[in-house]
Amino acid sequence: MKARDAVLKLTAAGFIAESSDPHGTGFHVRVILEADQVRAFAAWLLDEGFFIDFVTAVDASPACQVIYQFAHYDAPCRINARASLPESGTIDTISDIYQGADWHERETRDFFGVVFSGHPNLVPLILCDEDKDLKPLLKSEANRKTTDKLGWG
Amino acid sequence: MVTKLEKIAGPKHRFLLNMGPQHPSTHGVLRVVLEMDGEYAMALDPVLGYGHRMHEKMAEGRPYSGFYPNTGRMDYLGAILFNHGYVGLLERMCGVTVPERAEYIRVITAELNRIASHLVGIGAYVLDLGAFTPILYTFDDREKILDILEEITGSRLTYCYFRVGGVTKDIDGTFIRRTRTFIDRMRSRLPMYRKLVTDNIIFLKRTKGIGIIDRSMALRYGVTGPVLRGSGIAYDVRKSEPYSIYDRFDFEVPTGENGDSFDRYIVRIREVEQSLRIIEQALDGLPEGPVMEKTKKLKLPVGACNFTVEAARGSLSYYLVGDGSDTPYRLKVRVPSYSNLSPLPELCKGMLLSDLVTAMGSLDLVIPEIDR
Repeated sequence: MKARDAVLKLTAAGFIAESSDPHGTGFHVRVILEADQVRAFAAWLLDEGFFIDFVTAVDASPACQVIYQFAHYDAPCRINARASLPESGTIDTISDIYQGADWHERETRDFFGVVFSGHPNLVPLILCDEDKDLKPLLKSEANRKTTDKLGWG
Repeated sequence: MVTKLEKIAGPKHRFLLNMGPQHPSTHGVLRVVLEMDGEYAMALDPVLGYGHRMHEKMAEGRPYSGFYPNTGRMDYLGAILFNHGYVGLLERMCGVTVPERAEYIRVITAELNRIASHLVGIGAYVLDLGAFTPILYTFDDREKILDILEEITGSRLTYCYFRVGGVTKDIDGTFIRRTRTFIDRMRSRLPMYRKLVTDNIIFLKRTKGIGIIDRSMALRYGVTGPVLRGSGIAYDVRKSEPYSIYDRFDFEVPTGENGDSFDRYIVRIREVEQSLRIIEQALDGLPEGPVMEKTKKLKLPVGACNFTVEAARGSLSYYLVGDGSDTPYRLKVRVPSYSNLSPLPELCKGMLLSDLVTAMGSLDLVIPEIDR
């Protein structure tokens, strides 16, 4: 799928998508998701034959950002999506749609404390059990930047 | 699936078996907890994190240049390829141009490193299957590459050779001569590997039809690299999103047919041939000139940027969020072995233990890369 088609299709499906310069940002399409859209988004991607690259998070204020990246085997089309984590600290899992997200979500839970609701086995993956509430990649209050200052105004 | 043993003895005879974290065929500190039914593994649970060092946190605590050595310490067999991804990311973010000669040197050394990595992968894989001799031959060949790279990088394993704007040291006539000698040597060795391993009936019987990955499984888990190409999908970042100067070289992306363990092995062998082709073309076209662009100390611009390269085991992405300072605000490293290992529970369910070793070995895992 061409990047331009992906933007059109995503917009038609109700997602906020825009094309991005791959030489500048490294991905072709940028998507901004509402927290309740992630499952619909993942289902759309699976239908269109995208593979999962990674799931992670970036700590920021006012809300932690959950990042999803997907790419395609047949065409250069890399999609980077971001969703603001709701105040509850919980976002839907996509691990039943993309089974590979299982580990990525467990890792994100380890590092940021993001809870993926509906995940069948949200136990520590990379950290040991004693450190499961360490959340090592959360920033201190002094170091946490706002989304504006990270270019995500 | 109800096995014969289960029909006779009921479900109670199942037992847990710990494979690793110290086990010869997990190639590092990977542990897999197996629920066994006789010799069949009915459920698998990989346990990761024994070699976890939190590279991503280290990246946030120091200026970007302090992370160079870390890049060579994740995938220790393909360190230069990890160097390449990181400097590529910084150059893309900050708009740094790289001298032509440096780009050629990057491609030459990266492909040498890829061959060295595949040679370990091939040798260790055959060792897993019980054949000891081939690893001695592959290590002999790899030794030649390590000698060549040691001369210009100063290291034999955890390379830290690339910098933003170029490479640390220029190559000389000796390097070029030794590399050309190596290309001829390696080409003459490939028929020997075919006779010794590829055509070996025991090897074929052990690997054909074992651990088949299809397209659906590959995209649901994000499988990439030779493991994916074994399944007949010609996805290679060097072709699909060409970085550096890979679009100037004529090379093929080898693929398998059935997606089994044998196909993953044969793809690696063929990739060695293709890497030799790339190195040869790069040596022929090597321009004169500087190998390092003069750059000021960089400030990482505000915003997110991604850079993906084809590492020895698949697609490697660095994803960086900058905040205008010289220190990354967040750096995510997406490593290929992590995604390639994740289908294991689905891939190996109901397999004989000895076949599980075959399937897992064919993924060519590097555990410190998975644990980061």
